[in-house]
Formats: sequence, C-alpha cells, structure tokens
Amino acid sequence: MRISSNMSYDSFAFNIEKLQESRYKNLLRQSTGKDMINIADKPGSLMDVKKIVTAQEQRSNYINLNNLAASEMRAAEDQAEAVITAMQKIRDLSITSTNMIYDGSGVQSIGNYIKGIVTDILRNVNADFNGKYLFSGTKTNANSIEADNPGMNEMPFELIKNEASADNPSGFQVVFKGNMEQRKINKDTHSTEIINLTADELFGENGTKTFEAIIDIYNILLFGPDNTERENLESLSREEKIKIAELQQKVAHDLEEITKNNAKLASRRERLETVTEQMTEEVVRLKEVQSLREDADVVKVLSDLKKEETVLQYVLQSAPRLTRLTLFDFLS
Amino acid sequence: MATFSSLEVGRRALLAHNFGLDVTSNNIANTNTEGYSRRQAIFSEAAPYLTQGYYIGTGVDGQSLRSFREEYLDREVRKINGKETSYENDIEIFNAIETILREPTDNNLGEVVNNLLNIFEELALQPESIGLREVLLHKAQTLVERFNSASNDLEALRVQAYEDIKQDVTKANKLIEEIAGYNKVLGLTKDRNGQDSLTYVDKREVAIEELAKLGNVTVTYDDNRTANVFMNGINLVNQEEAHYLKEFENVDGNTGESSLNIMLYDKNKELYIDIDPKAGTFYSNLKHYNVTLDRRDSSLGFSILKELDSYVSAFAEKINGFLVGAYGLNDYGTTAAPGRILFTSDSGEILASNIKVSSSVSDPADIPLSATAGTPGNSDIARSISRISQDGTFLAGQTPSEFYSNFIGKVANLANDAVNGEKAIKLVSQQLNSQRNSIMSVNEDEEAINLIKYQKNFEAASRIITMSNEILSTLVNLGR
Repeated sequence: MRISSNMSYDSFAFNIEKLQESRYKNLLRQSTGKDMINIADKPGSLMDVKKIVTAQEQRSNYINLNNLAASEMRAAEDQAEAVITAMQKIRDLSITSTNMIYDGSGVQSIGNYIKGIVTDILRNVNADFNGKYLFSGTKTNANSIEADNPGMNEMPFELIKNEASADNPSGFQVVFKGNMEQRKINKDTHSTEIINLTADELFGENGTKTFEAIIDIYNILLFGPDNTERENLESLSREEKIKIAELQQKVAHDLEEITKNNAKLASRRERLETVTEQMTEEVVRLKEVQSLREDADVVKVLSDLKKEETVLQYVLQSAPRLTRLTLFDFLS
Repeated sequence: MATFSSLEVGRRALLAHNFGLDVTSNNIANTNTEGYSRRQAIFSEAAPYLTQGYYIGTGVDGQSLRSFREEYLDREVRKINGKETSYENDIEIFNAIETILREPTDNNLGEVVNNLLNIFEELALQPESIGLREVLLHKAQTLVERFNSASNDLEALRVQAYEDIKQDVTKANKLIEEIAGYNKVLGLTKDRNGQDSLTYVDKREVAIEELAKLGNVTVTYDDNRTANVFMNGINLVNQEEAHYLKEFENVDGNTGESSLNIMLYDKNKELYIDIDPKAGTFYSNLKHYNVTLDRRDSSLGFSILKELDSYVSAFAEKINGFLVGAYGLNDYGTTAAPGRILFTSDSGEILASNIKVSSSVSDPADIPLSATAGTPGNSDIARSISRISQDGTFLAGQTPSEFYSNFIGKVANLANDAVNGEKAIKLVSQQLNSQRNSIMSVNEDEEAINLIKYQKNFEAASRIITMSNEILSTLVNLGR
C-alpha cells in the first residue's frame, strides 16, 4: 500500500482524538461515579433509572410522612390513654361516693374532684400536635373553631356554664366545636390510612355524650333531690346511689369504647409502621438496582483508564518519529 | 547533423527534467493543500529520424501531466461527507437539548414535577401548615421557571437551526457559483494536449465536496469533463449555469405551524422547486426545525417541545381540576368554592412556554386544599393531587413519571442514534479518506526520490550539452 504523508497524520489525529475522547469519558466516570455521562450513552438504562429514582423518592417521602403521622398518632394515643385513666378515676370516685362513710360535704368534695378531672380531660383532648388539634376532626386550628357565642374560647372542647335547670342544676355543659371528620393520609402509593380519633369515637354522640353522664354524676353529688346544694350532713339517698350506679355504668361503657377506639388507632399506627418498614427495605433494594443501572464499575473504569493512558502515552511518544522520518531527513 | 542533433536532444532532456522538477516541487508545495491530487510528469520519446538506414531517436518529447483522482472514491467520500455532517449536527443539537433539559442529572424537569407532587403529599398530612404551603408556592414557581426556561431555550435552538440553514443556503449558493465558474474556466484553459487544468479540477472537487456536506449531492460529467451537480436529483449546476437555493418558510394559517423548505429558485421562470436534501447539515437542521423543535408539528415525528407542552398542559389541568372546587384556610362560611387554581397562563392553553403561578394563590393560606369550607385539616384535595403521580391515565395512558421517562428515553434514543451513526460513519470516512489519500496524496519519500532522479537526469542532460559543445569545438578547430 502506498502511504502518503497526509495519511499518517490523519490516522494519527483520528486515533488520538478517539483515545482522548474515551479517556475523557472515563475520567468523568471516575470523578462522578456515574456510568452515564450523556443521555446518549445508555437510553434504556436512563429510562429505568428515572422510574427507579421516582419510585425511590416517593417511598422516601412516604417513609418521612408516615413517621410524622405515627408520631402524631402516638401523641393522640397518649392523650386518649390519659383520658381513659381520668375516666377510670371518675368511675372509681363515683363508686366511692356511694359508700356510707361520706356525708354531704364528703360527697360534694368528690363531686368537685370529678369536676377537676373533667377539666383535666378537656386539657387532654384540647391538646395539639405540631400546631393542630388532635381530636377536632378536620377543624384543626383555632381559626376553624367556631364558637357559638363570644365568651367561648377557640379550643375544640370547652366546659361552659349555662343557666341552672331542673335537669342540670349546675348548668355545666361540655361543648364540642370541631367536627367528626376523619383525617386521612396516603400511606403508600396505593392505600390510605386514617390517622385521627374523632370526638364521637372518644365521647360518643356529638363528641360530648360521655360528659353528660359525668356532669349528671357531678350534679347528683353537688345537689340534693330538690336541686339545691347539698347540706353538709346530707349524704346520698338510695335513689341517688342507684342513679349514680347507672351513670357510672354508662361511663364504664364509654370507657370501654374509648379503649377500643384507642386500640384501633394504635393498630392503624402499627400498620403504618409496618408499611414504613417495608418501604425502607424497598428503598434499599431500589437503590441497589439504581446503582447497578447507573453507577460506574469503578474497577473497570480504572483499568480502562490505565489502559488508555498507557496507549495514549505510546501514541504521543510516536509523534516525533511520525514527523521526522522521511527521506528528506537523510538528504544532504 | 548528428552533432547538432545531440545538442537538440540535450536541450529537450534539460527542458523535460526541468518540467519533472517543477511538477515534483509543486507536489511538495501542495502536500497539505486540501483536495490536491498529486501530479506525475509523463514523458514520451520524440519522433525519430532516418539516418544511415536506421531510425534514431531525437530525445524526449510530448510531456504531459497525470493526476491521481479516482471518481469512485470521490463519489463515496461525497456521500459519506453528507452523512457525517448530518450526524455531527444532530449530536451538537442533542448536546444542547441535553443541557437544556439538564439530563442526565438529578435536577431534571421530571424531578421538579415529582418534588411538587411530594409537597402535596406532605400537605396531605399537614394541610394547615403555612410553612409547607409557602414551600409549595416556591416549588410551583421553580417548576414554572424551569419549564419556561426549557421552552425558551428550545425555541432559541430552533431559531439557531433556522439561522444555520440561512447561512448554509448562502454558503451553498457561493459554492454553486464557484462550481459553475470552474466549469467555465476549465472550458477555457485546456493545455497543449487538450487536457483540463488539474488545479481547477481539484478546486472544483473541493467545492463539490463542501456542497456535499450540506446535502445529498450527485455529480455527472459531460464528455468535455464539465461537472453537472444535483442535490437529491435537482440540478444545481448545469455546465456553466448555476441554479440558486433559497430557504422558504411556510406558515399554516389554521394551525400556525411553520415549516421550512429548501427550494431551488429559478429567477427567470419565477419557479420554486422543493429540494429534500436527504443528508448534510441542511437535512439535519430542517429535521430539527420542522419536527424535533417544532411545538406545532403536525407530522407523526417526535417533537420535544410538543411533548413538553402536552406534559405541562396535562399536569396543570389535572392540578387545577382538583383545586378549582376546593377551599383555602380562610374560606369560612362560603358555600361555593372560590375557584382558585395554581397554574395559569397569559394566553390560552397552559403550555411550557407560558405557564405561570396564578395570582389567586399568592397568599399561601388561599391555596385550596380542603374539600369542604372551614376545615383546614381536610386534606382530600392535597391527597388527590399527590395521587396524580400514580395516575395511569395522566397522559397517553401513562403516569407523569412514566411519561417523562419515556420522553427522555425517546430523546436519548435519537441522541444515541446520532452518536452511533457518527461513530460508524467516521470510521468509514477515515478508511475512505485513507484509501483516497493513499492514491491521491503526496508521499514525501516518493517526491524526494523524484527530486534526486530529475536532478541527476538534469545533470546528465547538461553533460550532453557540454559534450556536444566540446565536439563542436573540436570540429571547428579541425578547419583552422
């Protein structure tokens, strides 16, 4: 084959360009750790990686949100647990009040104690988590709590005092200003979970039914059959004791309901945590697949790079010979 | 007679080898000249004369030049040139598209959409959070800016393709004129053997090859070696006559779709003939201007801007569809939903180029995320919007992420075709050029040998003159 001068230079330039390009890409792979430098490198893998990254990010997002939701549910469970303890105490006090040993003032003291516990319960159920009320349905902030009259506060539950009546000589009433709507979140890509306990799940109809029984107990303990305040020596009559026993049973029934509903909330939280754990494992697996599709094989990149650099070195070393060796160099 | 004959033979030999030296020097001087084909001095023996019953030669005569141009290789190189420049231009454009779409990085457009949907997911847990609502507005603004910017940059790339076509048309017309000019010059500059000036043949071939980088060029040669040049069958140069090109933009009155064509323009006949260049930068730029980067493209080809517009339009429509019937944090006591939306545009359909965040939600509390009024903790709308990420009917029977992945996959496949095509063509081009250079280009060793050869022959010829001179002197002195 006849070798012209330009042929040598052109081939040299072509090969050097190819080597430099390949070396540059491997240097980028080494510095970024990614196998794909340009979209044209591996279109199939690029599409896979996009889908994997999206799935992974969605799961990571669900994990964070589920953890937050679980914290909120745990807070609700704790408050509900405190309510259960308080209601148990009310029940115990109601039973105690029917003992023969208490005179009128003793019964009144128990009644006032029960009222104090009611206040504690209201403090529990008015609790907020991260700025939102836990038991007011979807009316989760103060602005959304609509008070019936200006004297009311912007809390979901409030103990108010109405005019005394034959049915309610103390005039006390617990009002609920939230709603009974469930709050849901997407716990994963295809299912939802309820994350709150509604007021009616806690306290029965209208979210206040249980309090009616408690206030009835309070009224019996504080007021005599004629609806006047109980005298110091006026202990409970037989009818009043029967009434208290009935009311106490109602409270006990509601207590069971709260316990049952709180257990439901706990089981929902556990489901949420199980799903979250599964997703954490999925994220690890997805990251593995992503890495296989996207990341550079460091050993291969380094050995390729070494090979290319060695070849490049020899090619560059051959350049002076390429430019020197012609017959003209030997003509004098 | 014999003595004077030697002088004449010597003179002819001197001229011949001087001619050889000239040809060799020219070869050496043009070693790096583009398109130069090496020349070879061809000598022939001069006509003999009859003396003493024998025909005796009268030296060297009839010098001519031989060029080493192979028509087959020229044709193949032209073909390859067109494909190579087409792929190279494709790669340049796809590199720009890759940068505009910020691929393959984690900061791509699909990611911006996912980020926004993820914020809706967070708001499903905390719909009353003003802080998260602020983040939502920020992410929405980022999305809008990214799509606006991508759309504007892709439009600018389309304008660049148009400018390149215009420049290439100007370049093509200059080359067409040049080729016609060389045809004319070649008709006037025949050597004493009736041969063309090889210099102009080479220059014409360089011009034809340059033209072949713009489109698919074929050449036919007349009996008098005039080159007639065609682009995809349309005659651009007919002997000494040049036909010029013109870019022609056609805008559809109904759809607003603008398409660009390269036309052959006949001034005299006021005639336009459409040329489909089939290769070269014309082909590549027209393809991108008329399809890849045309948002109104009505062909069945893959248009990046059109796909982006559909993506943005579907996304905005889905989100707005949920929001329009929903309530914000301060919407108490209202029965009818305030009808606020997140995305809007200044004109008509919401597209990548004009999408913007609606002023109706500039106060984060006003972002309607609740299905019922006065219930800030109701996250039904936020939850439904975040579920768009799983909506298999989002666009073309795919979820947003599937649509975007497939969209990028299509862009990547086109870029991959261009890169692989260029790699393969470059290798063939390198082989063809090597093959052609092996025949056509100058070899310095060969020329060095020729230099020595002609120098020595010149010296020998000068010896003939010296010897003849001495013989003549001897003869003159005989008569004294």
